[in-house]
Amino acid sequence: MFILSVIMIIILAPLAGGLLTGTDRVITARMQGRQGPPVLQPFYDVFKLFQKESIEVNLMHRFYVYIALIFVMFTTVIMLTGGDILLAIFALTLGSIFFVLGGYASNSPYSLIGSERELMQMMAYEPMVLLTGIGLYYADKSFFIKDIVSGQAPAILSLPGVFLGLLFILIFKLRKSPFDLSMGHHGHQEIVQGIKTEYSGKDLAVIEITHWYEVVIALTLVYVFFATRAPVSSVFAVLACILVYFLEIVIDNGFARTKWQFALKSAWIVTGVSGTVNLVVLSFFR
Amino acid sequence: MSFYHFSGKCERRALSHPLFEAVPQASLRYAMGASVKEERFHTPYLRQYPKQAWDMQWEQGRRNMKFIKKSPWILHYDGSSCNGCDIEVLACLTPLYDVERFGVINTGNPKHADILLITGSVNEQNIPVVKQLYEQMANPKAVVAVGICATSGGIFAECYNVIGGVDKVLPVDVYVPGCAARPEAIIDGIVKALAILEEKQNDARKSFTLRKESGLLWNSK
Repeated sequence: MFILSVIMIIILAPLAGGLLTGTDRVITARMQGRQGPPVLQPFYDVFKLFQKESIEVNLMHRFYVYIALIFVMFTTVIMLTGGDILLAIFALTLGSIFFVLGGYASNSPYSLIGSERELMQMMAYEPMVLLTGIGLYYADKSFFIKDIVSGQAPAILSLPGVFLGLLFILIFKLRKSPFDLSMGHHGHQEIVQGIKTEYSGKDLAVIEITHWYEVVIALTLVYVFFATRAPVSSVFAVLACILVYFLEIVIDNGFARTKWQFALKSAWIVTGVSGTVNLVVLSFFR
Repeated sequence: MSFYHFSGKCERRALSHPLFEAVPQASLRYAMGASVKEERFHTPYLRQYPKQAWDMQWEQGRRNMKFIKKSPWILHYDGSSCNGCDIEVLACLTPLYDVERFGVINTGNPKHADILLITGSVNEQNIPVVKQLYEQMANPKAVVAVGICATSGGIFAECYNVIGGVDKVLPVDVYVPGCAARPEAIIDGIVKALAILEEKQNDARKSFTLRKESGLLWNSK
């Protein structure tokens, strides 16, 4: 039964992520006064990339991307089966690190810059991701997601500041403007394509699929804040996920890309103020 | 569609020895004597076979999954001249024409692109640039010459440094006339290029399987 659910998660999570990305592209187009591609466009893109030639730059180049995909899949499985949130966060970080190494593997200046910016972005968002895990532990006295989502009250009530911080760093995680410094999601952007520059064919498709999993992981983190023991709460939690995703699309379309200095400073200020203060206040009440 | 298009895969593997890694693939190929002209006029022998029943069946099966037609990613390059056609290419992306309806993405990266849109004539300065962009694209790929300068050199044809249209350097698949080419014409050109891409994909796969069966591939026994 467990194995079955794991297989279902591995199959269904990217489907959901791909559909979300597709709706994202449609909504973005409508915001710009365009009709936009079909909702299934991300799937067309990925299937096309699977049919194209993959250019090997060197032997390690594609290896890192596949390893990154495996770790991100591992994270998705842990989170959706209600596992340990700390383990999930660390596995996700490891996946990101392998992705950065993939950028470094080719000697292209574009992907080197992309990797450096990705590292900088990780520096910006990792503290908040960790604070989210710690905050959820503080609120529910458990690191296991299945305990957190079966609490009495939703975690958002005790962790509004941490949630705000999470919303902020999700801009990084979902690779949305103004913080899509390392790898622009739209074509023709950000020093060609950052880490993706040297990838083509199957490998590029794998990067896309990794991103779909990451979208699901990001929204699961939002879900955890709203779900409680009551079954109705899961409806609200899903609604919250959709709202958050929509908010990120609005932010994506509403802001120009910032410099990395601002990205780093603002992420740390938000983490320091809204995340830490929330935890300090919480520690007084407990 | 030349023969060496699909020898791409095995050649690359053979060349992925550490000794070769520092050398760009493009220059290596040219050093090995692959000339662009040859590529353009060489007809693959596979085409000369009459179509067998299994062949048709196989093609039919392939035809059902042509995703390249649903997501053509383009790369645009302005060779020289007035830049008008290049602006019209970008006009295709605006809300009025919105080519993203057809899944077209304007990539800035040859490794992601399927279709190379070249505007402007080719001159001595940009021959290596154009060649390199083409070489860096992954197969299957198509070249669309946009505007009269790209098709024949246009009013710049007589210039001392202009060697003519893009077809002097690359195997051009679609010519889009106009000065400047209208966005509608450019979109039409992209759509025509899609049909060619599809054909190239078919040829490539067929040549790959045939060569595998006949033992021409490096890894076939």
